[in-house]
Amino acid sequence: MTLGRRALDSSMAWAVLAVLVGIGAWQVLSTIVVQSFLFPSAWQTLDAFRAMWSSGELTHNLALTGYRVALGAAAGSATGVALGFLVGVNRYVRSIADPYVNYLRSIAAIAWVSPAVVWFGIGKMPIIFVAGYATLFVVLINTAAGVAHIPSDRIRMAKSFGASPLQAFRDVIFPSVVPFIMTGLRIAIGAAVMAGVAGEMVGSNSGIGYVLYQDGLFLRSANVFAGLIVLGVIGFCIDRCFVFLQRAMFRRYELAHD
Amino acid sequence: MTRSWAGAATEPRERRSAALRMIRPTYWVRGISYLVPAGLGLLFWIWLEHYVNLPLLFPGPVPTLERFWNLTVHGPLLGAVWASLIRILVGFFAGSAVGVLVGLAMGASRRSGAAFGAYVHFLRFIPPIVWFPVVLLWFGAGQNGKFFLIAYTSIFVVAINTAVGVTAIPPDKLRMGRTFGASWWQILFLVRLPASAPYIFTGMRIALGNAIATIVLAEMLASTNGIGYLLVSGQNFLDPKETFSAMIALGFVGVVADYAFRRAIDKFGGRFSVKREYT
Repeated sequence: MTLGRRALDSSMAWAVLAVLVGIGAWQVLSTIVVQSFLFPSAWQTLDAFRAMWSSGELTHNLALTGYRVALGAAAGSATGVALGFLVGVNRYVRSIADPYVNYLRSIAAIAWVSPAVVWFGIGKMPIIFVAGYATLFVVLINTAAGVAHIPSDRIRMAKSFGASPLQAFRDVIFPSVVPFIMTGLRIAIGAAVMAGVAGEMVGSNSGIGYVLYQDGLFLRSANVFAGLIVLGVIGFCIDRCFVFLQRAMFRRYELAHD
Repeated sequence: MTRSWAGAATEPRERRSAALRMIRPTYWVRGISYLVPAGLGLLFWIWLEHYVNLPLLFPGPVPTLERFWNLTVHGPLLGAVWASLIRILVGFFAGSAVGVLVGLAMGASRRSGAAFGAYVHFLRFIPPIVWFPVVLLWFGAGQNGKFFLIAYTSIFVVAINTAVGVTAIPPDKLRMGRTFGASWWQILFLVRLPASAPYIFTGMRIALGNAIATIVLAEMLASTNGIGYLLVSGQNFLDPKETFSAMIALGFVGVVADYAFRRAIDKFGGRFSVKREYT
């Protein structure tokens, strides 16, 4: 087989080809659509990205958003893990919490931005709140499901070896639930970023969501496109990091590959 | 119900009337299991109301529910829910249809999988709502933009799930199809597609939840009706009771939509061997 044919056979080559064709189509399309504010070309987007990058606008607002989302996600998932264990371990707590969890998780996190703005004022607090809300229930449900999925033999074994409840929790229950928590966190981080960026559009006056929305209103679509792509890349990287973490923890916690 | 010695439940002999069945103990247990949490929650809310003691910013359950009732009976709440539902459903089904096609293309062959996957795995990480400024430019503040946004929200989840389903098909099914002389296209649409139905339904269920979140923000930003508009008008006129009412309605929409979808899967998914799930 020649080198060319081998390259044609690999998936990577097809992915690269598809992306190149896509960028070409983008460039052609943008020359057909004359008004560049409706559909900026790939070059204009690149220029906009360079300008946003060198002015520090992009990094500054990304850092702001990242800080808020991270804070909210950390608070939300810590609460979610704690509550998830409570709900998973005690069936009375579970039956009381069940209707609330099912109801509250059905309320889109972004809806909370309205009362949050009224309570905390425009700024970073509503965003942290909304990002936390977005993570809370995902993590809670996954943690509780993890507790429910522990093979009862494991707990029995720990008990027959004389483990105290605290030891059983620390050495058996918690490690068994870690894979579920990780799965929950992976979904939750995505939800938190989405809720945070969305929240900044209505409940903040800084951050990448706010900037992109303003750019859209002032017809700077090239900036919006640049921001879109940057957000996509960041989301992709965060997800890869999680997959990497999950793989790294695979041996210790028997995580399933996906 | 009587229990046999082996512990297996047996059907009661006598046929009781419907009225008698209504007061079966299980109904009481179920009723209590909802009433007790509801009561505790209300108590907590009332306590919080008195603790915070800022009725303008944090209304208690009584004024809120009163307002909810008024908005439902005399006000715009039902109309808002309807407006949001229409947007969600149109965009959701359109997006799911496209998502299934894209997923099929991803799963059909390794090459097309790589080509489409490059886009799907990139685009799915862009929060749909960030497209909103662009959508506003392209479609204006009307319905079409919202349909587009909801469709965008749904496509990638459905596409990825479809692709997984299409590739996870048991090889025996494919072999059987080929043995019966099915062409590549026939196998794709008559064997692979139906076999991936459970995955498609799962993806659609997740997409529906995301769609609700997306439409709320789209309505908050640019709309004159819908749940999101109600939310943000409550915020703008410093009327948290209205915001809370809209959120209560939003929760109901979410619960009902998810329940309806689960029932639909139970009812129609059996043919495609979708497992029942109650989570």
